[in-house]
Amino acid sequence: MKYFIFLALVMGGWFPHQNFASELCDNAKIGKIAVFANGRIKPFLVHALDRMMFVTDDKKKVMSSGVKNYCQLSFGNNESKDRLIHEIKVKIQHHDIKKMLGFDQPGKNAYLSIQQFLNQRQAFIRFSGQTDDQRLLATLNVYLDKMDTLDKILNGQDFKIWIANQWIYSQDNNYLEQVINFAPLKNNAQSMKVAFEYYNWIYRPFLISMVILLNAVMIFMVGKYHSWVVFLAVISLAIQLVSMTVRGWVADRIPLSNMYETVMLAGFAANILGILFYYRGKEKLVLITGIFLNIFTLFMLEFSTGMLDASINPLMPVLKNNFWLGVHVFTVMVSYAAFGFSWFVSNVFICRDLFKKSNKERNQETTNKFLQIISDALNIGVVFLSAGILTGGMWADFAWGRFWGWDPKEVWSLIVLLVYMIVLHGRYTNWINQTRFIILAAPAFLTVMMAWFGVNYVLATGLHSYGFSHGGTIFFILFVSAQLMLSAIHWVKNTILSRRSLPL
Amino acid sequence: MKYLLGKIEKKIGNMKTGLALLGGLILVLVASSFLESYTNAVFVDRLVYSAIWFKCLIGSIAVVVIISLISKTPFKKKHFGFYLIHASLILILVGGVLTAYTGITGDVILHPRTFTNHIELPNYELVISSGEDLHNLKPIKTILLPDRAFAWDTSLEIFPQLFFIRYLPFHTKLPEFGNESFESGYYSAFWELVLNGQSRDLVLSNHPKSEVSARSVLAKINFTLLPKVMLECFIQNTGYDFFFWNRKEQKCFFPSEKKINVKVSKLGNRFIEYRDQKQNLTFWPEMSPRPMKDHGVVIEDSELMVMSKKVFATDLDILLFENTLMVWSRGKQQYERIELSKEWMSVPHLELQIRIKEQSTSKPIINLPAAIIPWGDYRGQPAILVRHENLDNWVLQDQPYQFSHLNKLVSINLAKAKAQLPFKIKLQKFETKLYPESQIPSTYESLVEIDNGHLASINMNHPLSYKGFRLFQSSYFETSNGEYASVLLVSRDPGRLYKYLGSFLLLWGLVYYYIRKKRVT
Repeated sequence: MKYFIFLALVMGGWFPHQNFASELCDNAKIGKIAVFANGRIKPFLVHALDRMMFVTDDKKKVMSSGVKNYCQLSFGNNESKDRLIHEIKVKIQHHDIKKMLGFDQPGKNAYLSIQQFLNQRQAFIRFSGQTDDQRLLATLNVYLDKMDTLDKILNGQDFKIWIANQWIYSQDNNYLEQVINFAPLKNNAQSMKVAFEYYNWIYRPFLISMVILLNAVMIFMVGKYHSWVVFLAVISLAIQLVSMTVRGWVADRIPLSNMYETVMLAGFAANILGILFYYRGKEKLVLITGIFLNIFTLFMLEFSTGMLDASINPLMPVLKNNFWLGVHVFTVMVSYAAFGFSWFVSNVFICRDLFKKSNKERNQETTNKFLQIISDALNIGVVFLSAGILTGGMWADFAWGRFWGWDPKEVWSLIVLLVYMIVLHGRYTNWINQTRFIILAAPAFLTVMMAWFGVNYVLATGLHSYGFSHGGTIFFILFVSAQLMLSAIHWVKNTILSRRSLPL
Repeated sequence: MKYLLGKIEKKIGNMKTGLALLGGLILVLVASSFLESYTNAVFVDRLVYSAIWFKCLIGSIAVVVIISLISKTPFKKKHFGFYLIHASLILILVGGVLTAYTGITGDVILHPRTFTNHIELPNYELVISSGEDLHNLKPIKTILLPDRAFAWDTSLEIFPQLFFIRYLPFHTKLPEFGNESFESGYYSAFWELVLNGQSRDLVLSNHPKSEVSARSVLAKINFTLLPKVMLECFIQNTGYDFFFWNRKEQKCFFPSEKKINVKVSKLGNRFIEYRDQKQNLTFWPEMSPRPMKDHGVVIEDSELMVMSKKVFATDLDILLFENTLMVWSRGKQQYERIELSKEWMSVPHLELQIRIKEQSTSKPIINLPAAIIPWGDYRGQPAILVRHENLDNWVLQDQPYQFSHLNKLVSINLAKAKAQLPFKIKLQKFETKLYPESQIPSTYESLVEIDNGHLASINMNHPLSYKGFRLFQSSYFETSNGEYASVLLVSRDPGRLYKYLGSFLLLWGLVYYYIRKKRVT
């Protein structure tokens, strides 16, 4: 908000003979204007940032001047458009495409101005004619899509605005004075949605919830005031719930249809699980585990936009069933939250084991505590995952005509269930002793990560891969290698080193 | 007997065996999911999920579960959760087996305004039919092809003197030398090149029976195969930069030999008028090697051609006079000659290395089916090799093998296996609806009419159930007249009830088990 007012003041001073577009684009209200694009009505701010992010892939620039640039590109006169298409850069990450464009530095991203980028259209088309690589082809199509979007933006065909009781394209300059007054769409559900979406974006509720949770962690560190920790956690959950509800209301569906929304729910569910466990056993470890997991997911939602796309896009036809979408994804996400819980607690145990003094015996009471938490979490996880797989089967039977089809997502969810089944059965018959059971819960979670992220970002095939993005692969590989390393170090220390020290 | 059962119970029904089998299943599933991302779903399904050994693996896990259930008899209330969970797993598997062996899953392809009851099943069959003529063929035998992932060699007599030799579940056509033919004076060859650092293959042939052409473009460079005898004419220094070529006699001549005058058109193009025995021909050397009739029509099958050396004097043309390569050198302003062999030779000015892999002057090059591993969207279709009276013939989906036997026509066809709906269905209209202000589809919808006059709309998440079959919107395509045809997935699933019942029981069992355990501890 402040940013816009500041910009309006500065820019107002700079252009005494400003044209209409610059007046419009510098106005703080521009972000709130309702626009009709890409399947729904939304605030200009959201649409502009979405589009600029999609086209340029450059988060920093988009966050600082995306709205204004998009506005100028849509409403501006030829002169200002011309200046901007030389100024604004499009980021190109794909190795083969950079090579095709003649960029030779492998580590660095290539940047083309919009003008240069649009001039490469024929080269991109030719390149896609030459390759057989399906993934490269998909990436090339995304770039061609970006070019089409840019064309639409520059021709003022990218969105419609509500003027004189109808939706019209923005290039129709006669009515633009009315845009700025934001008179239309008052007092009806649509304008309410637009306003809610706007404020849901502007106030960044997930960031606020994250800050509240960080404060809760600090209070937790001080000790004693655990009811305050719970209080803050509940406030944070309430804010998240409001934001999720707004999202669902705006999108007109259950907000559980893509990676962003599943991460959102999983952290939320983990935090609730933590509070519930805390009230049953009065064990503070579970409370902080839930909070940490929630902070972790909120951090991902706010800062890893390369992996998780926050934009609300129309749903593909097969997912358009609120009941099954809700039931299936909800059960699966609660189970993932529960498994995530066991993962965190298991890692706490591993780290304690690593840093404690070697001669000290493991305390049976502590072990029992960890054992209890992890078995509880795994039991909940298994029940909900089974429910998730079976409801998934029913939905597939209902929508595709088959209960089970060996799709990679299905296969990996089955793998997760089987892995935890082995761990639980092994524990039941005592082949896996108490300590091993606790330690195994952390690496077993890697199968969840594979089913959740790996199938979409690494395998990237099959019916369930709705969102492939570059950042996800790196995140997944980092996560897996960090966990494996920690488990391996712990194993080496516990088995090989302790065995060696025995004769001494 | 009881002793034996007890022993089996101990050996197989114990949890160690069960968990080892589960571990094996996990490994197989992990490997398959990764393999699928390099190949595709159809291939992995044939290789793993539909394969007998995989079914045996699942079956043996079921056996262990059943034995563990038996071992917990007689019934005790404290084991209720255990019974429920493990029995419901068996129930779900029974449902799966019923679906796989008694159910029907296939496609119904609906063309606009035509009633049909045909179901196309996913597997293929070989149909042998015979009749008086092409229009009166009646199937006499069908052979369902097995769900295999790799090529399968067999020797099955499917008709007197006709053997089924080889089955390629997925194939592509690759050029290969065909049988020796009596026509000589032609040339066919496989070249290997390294062009701009990339390894490429080049296949050219001018044999009349070849299925590859004598001209090919690789990375913008045109490779043209020409007869060896033409080389003499090409390098002869006669003052002309073109010559005539008689395709029938394989000989060339120059304008001066037949006293032909070269004229220049108003636009500055050269042309030559030539009087054949039958007709007047006009050649435009810079435009086409083929002559034109008086009124400007190109004669494609003319025996006489004109070859302009100027046309090929570019960086982007390579002429292959069989094993002699000619390329224009801009620096020297003349053609350079390179004799090719099985050794690598480099071509100056171009980043090109070339060698001959195989060559023949008597064999044509034809495209023959070769087995492949499919990947991505590429599904690959099956191909069948049959041997009839000691001659090999390929049967493809659009290429039946036909012969006459005892005055009757016999046809061997490869086609999708078929089933029938107990009713007929007609597509009234197929519609794709988009989200407003976008190109994103929001729904695909088929409006269909069933033979009892009932109208129904089938779209995503809204299937049609009728007479034990369910019909789902699956895909669509554009027909030749611009209308849309719709593809419905049809399913008859007798195992459905068991799967649903098993699912509910399993969930009940898990919750029961969990709550009971909590209460005990």
